[in-house]
Amino acid sequence: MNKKGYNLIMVMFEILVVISVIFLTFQVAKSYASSDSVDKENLAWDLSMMVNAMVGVPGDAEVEFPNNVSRFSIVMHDRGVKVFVKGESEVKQSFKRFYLPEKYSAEGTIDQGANEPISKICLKKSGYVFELKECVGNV
Amino acid sequence: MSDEIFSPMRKTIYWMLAGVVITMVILGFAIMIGNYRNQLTHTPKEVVAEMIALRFANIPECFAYSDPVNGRVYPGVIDINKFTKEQMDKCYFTEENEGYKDYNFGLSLKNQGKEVITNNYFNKDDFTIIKTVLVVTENGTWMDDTLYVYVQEKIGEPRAKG
Repeated sequence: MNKKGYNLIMVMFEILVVISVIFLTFQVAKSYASSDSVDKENLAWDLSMMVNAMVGVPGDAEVEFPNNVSRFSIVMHDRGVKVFVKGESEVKQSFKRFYLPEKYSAEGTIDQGANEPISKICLKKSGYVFELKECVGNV
Repeated sequence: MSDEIFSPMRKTIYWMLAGVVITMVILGFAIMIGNYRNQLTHTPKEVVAEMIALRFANIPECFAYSDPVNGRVYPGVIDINKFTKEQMDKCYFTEENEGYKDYNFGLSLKNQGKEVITNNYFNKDDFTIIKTVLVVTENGTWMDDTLYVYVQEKIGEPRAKG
């Protein structure tokens, strides 16, 4: 075996491995840093807790969510709230369950793909119905 | 001669060991990032339980007293006639099959000596919320009482999405 040739191949192989490890590590870090998973999870938590808090309020109420949500689509129904970036797979979506008392219902969809991005959302409780919608005017 | 034979062998062993170490480093890095993400999304269980437990003493669909004449609701005042399992099921009812993976509650009125529990409460308390309340008794008198809300966060693994 030609020792020089072998050593050269090994050196190239080592350099390739080091480069690929560095690349992989940066890719993993970059994908986490640029992903919306933390914001999605926190938004889903916040909305489900807002529903729970408003269930505990006798009478009607309306609350404006204090953060910009223009990056996310949201679907709320009787059993929970789902937050996702339009087009992403089911696995990546954040879902938080809540339990409403009998007679109560929840509904509402914030669709970010339809028209202009919706940045401000409101949660309204009127009677036994929770409605998630775009804020209109001052709350 | 011997160097020619053993040098490739040494390299092979070196790269086998290096492969294990590199894999461990990448895995460790991924776990570290995962843990950091969990820290960022952590919500204290006490806050969640407190939010859910607000309903028990505050709305008439749970145990809050409402005036039978004008319908006015008295938050923080518990109607002892409503303090039943049937009313609890109307107020907070977790899924039959997997509801034990969600928050469940056991409620106890200290002075009245009455208790109600949610459908998947199995006495595995994680912590207790204590509230001072008023109770409207069967004969219509109002009495001071303490409501103990025993919180069972979850049993087993967290539920799957969906």
